[in-house]
Amino acid sequence: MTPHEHQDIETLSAYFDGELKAAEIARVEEHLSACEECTERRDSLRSAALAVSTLESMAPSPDESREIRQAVLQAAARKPSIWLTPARLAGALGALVLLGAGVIGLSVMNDESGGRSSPGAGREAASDAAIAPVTEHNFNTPQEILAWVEADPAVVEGASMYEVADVGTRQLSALERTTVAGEEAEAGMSQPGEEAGATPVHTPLWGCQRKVLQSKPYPTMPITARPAVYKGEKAWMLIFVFSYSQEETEALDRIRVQLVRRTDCHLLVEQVFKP
Amino acid sequence: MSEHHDLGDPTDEDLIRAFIETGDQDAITDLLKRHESRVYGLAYRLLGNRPDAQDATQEVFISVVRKAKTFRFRSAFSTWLYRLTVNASHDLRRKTSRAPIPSEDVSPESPDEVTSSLDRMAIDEALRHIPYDQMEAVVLRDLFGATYDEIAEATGVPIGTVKSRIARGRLQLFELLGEPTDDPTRLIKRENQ
Repeated sequence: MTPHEHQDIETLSAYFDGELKAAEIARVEEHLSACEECTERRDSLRSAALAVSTLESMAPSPDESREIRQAVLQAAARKPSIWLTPARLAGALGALVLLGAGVIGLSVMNDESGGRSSPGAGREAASDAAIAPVTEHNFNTPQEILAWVEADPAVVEGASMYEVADVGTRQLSALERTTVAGEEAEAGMSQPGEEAGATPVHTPLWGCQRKVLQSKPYPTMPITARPAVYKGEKAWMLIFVFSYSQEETEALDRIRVQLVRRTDCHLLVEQVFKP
Repeated sequence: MSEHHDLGDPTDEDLIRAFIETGDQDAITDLLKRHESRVYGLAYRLLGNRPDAQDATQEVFISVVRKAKTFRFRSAFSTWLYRLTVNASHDLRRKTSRAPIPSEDVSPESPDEVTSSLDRMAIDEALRHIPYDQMEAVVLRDLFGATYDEIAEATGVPIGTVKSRIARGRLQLFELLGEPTDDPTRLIKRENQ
């Protein structure tokens, strides 16, 4: 571009921003001194830039600030998770006393201690760990669990997806069916976004697909799925399941054992009961 | 007193090092004090409402905590924060559908403040009418003073694309806002018609 040609808006805008090299600046200035049209365009761009610069930068309120600080410092102080191997989990589940109307969160996670863990490393880490539910979080609603997960991305780091699901009795049996269907599809490890298989409501748990539960009493229950961070070995997943009766929690335990056996993932069991 | 305070007036990078090496939570608190408002302000502009801005800010600093060890000290901490904020805002936009709050939540008191508040509402509104990637680049440049290099790093696009987004965004804003003397509320009126 010569000093005699009109300047494009990118050049005029970058000129205003001081992002041009000396030679370009000289060329643009020479052109602007003789071109009313380009001067006008430059002024338009400058006027828009100045308008945006007059906007206030919003600051968090004291309450928001306090909540942010709390969540961040909690994350900074987070202790390593207790890893359960399939065998240990099965033993642990047998020892759990499940109360009715309980809220159960089940997560399949990667190792926080040093990036992505291998199954073997996870087992070693768990060798001396106490087999007990982690009860540092008190959840009473799906929203609270979802908020916790979203507030702490490390929980789902490396996971293919996660869900917060409210499981009623009817849905629970569907979930079991889904788990079986998922096993059949496991070898293929289908990708996120693929259509559901046999049932219109549930898609396979495996293969990083989003599962949609339409259940009561939370018809507007939030469900979310993260894009897959599928690393090749297996689908690392995090699943939270709600249960409101003894029957459901027992069935859930069966599913959990299946999940461990079928994925060979490390499980962190979070079990908290409603007050 | 925590160890990082022995450093005198530590840089952001010093604070990150202190956290990585000793798990010093005061270092994180100091980083929050320094940058929370900036991160929140950017997230608010990108997302358009306070709840999402709070969520994004929280997510950004939790990412700082979780990913501190991966921080490459050859780029500035502030640039890393821009990138985390841009990414957290993208994620939240995908996940939530909260409507933007159309006006500044500051009550104007004098006639001059009313005019300037209306101006800002119009500019705010105009920003929402241009493509998101252009708005993002313009906000980073004109409101937060980021350089083209920093914007390129934060948004993960080449400098040429940044240049183009800023220029096109500004041009569209100018067309939407018109001359500065025009009625600043026209965009809002148009929305309500």
